[in-house]
Amino acid sequence: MGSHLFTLAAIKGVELAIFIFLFAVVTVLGFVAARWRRGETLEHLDEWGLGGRNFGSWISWFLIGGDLYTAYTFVAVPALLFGSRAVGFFAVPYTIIIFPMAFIVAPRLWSVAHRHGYVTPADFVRGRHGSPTLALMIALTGIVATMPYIALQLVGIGAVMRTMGISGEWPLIIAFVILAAYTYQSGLRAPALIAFVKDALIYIVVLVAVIYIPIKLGGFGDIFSAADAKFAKSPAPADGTLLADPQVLGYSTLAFGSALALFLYPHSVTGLLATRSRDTIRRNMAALPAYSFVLGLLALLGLMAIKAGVTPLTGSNGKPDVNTVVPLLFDKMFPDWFAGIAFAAIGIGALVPAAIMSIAAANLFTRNIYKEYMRRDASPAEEARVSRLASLVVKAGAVVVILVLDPQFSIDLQLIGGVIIVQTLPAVAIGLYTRALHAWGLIAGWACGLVAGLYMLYDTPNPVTGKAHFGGAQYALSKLGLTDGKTTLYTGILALALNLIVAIVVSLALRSRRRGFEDATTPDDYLVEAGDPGVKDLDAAPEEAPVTAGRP
Amino acid sequence: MAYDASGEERFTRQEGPPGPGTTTRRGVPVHDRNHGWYWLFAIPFVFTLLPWIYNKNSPELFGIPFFYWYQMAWVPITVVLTILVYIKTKGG
Repeated sequence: MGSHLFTLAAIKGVELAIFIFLFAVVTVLGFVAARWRRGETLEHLDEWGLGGRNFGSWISWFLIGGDLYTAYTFVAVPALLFGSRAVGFFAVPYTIIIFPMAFIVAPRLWSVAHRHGYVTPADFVRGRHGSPTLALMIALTGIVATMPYIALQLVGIGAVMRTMGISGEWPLIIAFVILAAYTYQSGLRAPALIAFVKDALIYIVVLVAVIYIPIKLGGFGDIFSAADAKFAKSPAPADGTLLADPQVLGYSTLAFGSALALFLYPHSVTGLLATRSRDTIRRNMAALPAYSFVLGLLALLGLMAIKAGVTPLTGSNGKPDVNTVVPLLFDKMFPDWFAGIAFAAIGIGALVPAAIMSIAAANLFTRNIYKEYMRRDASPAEEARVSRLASLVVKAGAVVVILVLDPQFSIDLQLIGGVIIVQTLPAVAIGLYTRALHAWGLIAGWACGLVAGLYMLYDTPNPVTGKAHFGGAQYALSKLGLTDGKTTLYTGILALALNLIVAIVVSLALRSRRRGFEDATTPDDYLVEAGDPGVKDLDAAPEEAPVTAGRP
Repeated sequence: MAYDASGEERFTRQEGPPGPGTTTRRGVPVHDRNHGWYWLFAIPFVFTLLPWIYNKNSPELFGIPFFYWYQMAWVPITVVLTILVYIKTKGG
């Protein structure tokens, strides 16, 4: 940056200009999206909240990819590798195994949701298990898990802004006000259209970065040696070249548990239900791993930052903010104009998931709280209206949380979010296969899993950051009296195990008491495809070319 | 009351011969077949979720330690498996 006469000069003009230009382009797209593939009216939750339930393979690939791989992922995963190396790479096995699981399970959810007009996972739980109470629990869990996730998207934009020399909160507020406006206007069509720009930028930036930066840094050999040297000097036992022995189980349970959680998030379900057919989902599960490969490459950027000698900027709380590592690396290695494109990719990358998440949370409120408990006879138009307003409230809430509270609080909340969302697995994912678990068993299991998960998170210190509580989602088995070593397991998996045990025991105790919990679904509801009898006939959009599966 | 949000007429029972393998009892075509192929998905689970297999540095590839390139390699392998399962389980 050098020394300049006045502080404004610290702002990087070229980078900022390109960032603002691309941001303006997607803003226009966001508003235009209201007319794109328009149905008869936006005054219906299927239209505003699910984009007409009619997205084909290509659009869904961009939409779901843009939904699952968030800006926070793009800055936080490399930051993890920068900080503790091997452990951060769990994102790769995690995003490898998620798609086979979804390939098998997600089409069943699509079918039953289309047969019955379900919009949210809690809608399905309501119909399947016949319990409004359980559905409310599922809806609240979804909202609570999603809110901090939206707030973290602001952390992603903030990291980029600070690297460009812009501090302060107004740019974040402006970005979210614009986002809120076009989401209100266009619903799910806005992020679907913007996702094309976001993902195209991300792919370009990452491919250039993983070829160009290693060449400038002297190759991968040098990069890994530099990382080795850094971690060898560090006193912390949890970092290093490879996984330390006690970390191995924690690594695989974290990957597995995160994969179980991902498609339980309301925004993932929104992406799935917006597709046109079961077949669209199945094709996408073969094509979406292209993003996983990109994520793996991105993760390596964290190690490149070590070799490049990047020092994280100081955050608002006075501590180094490792989330600025990737933006700083781009700033250091790329010419200004390309760094601007890279920053825009991250910034726009925050908007797509934030929009989908706020839509998903708003739909949960509308369907499972407002309609269930306040206005039983709400018309589809009223549902759409309530959902639009709720999406504004959700975004305003996220901005307030990030501005008023320490960003660390959002990170803690997101950690909690992952642990609690996986507690909805028995009701949602197992519910797609069997009603063997009784509604009260599911409620009891959910409650026990939630309390145990929160307690374990509270009981986890982090010696590196000096935090006494909520120091991470790895729980030491020695605390359970199972081992006396340092082995840890992913907290979410431990809580889920307890959840399942409780649910099974209570269900066995109540197995003769089924009255009052009727199942609205039938076995073949889970198998129907678009065009079958009983599946809502949606206006056929022009055929698109099919995705060549697996080709990025 | 059964919870149905579609507001549309419920699916009506279709009488007719239950064509084994092609339709369910109520006449809905079966779109998934050959479910046994799903077991192929056990392969990536085993090989990516057991870090004991790959928690080592050598052999390196282009200077990248085994730990990193091995896990990355499972992305395309899993894609190939998914395409295979997709083709084999695709039904009418």
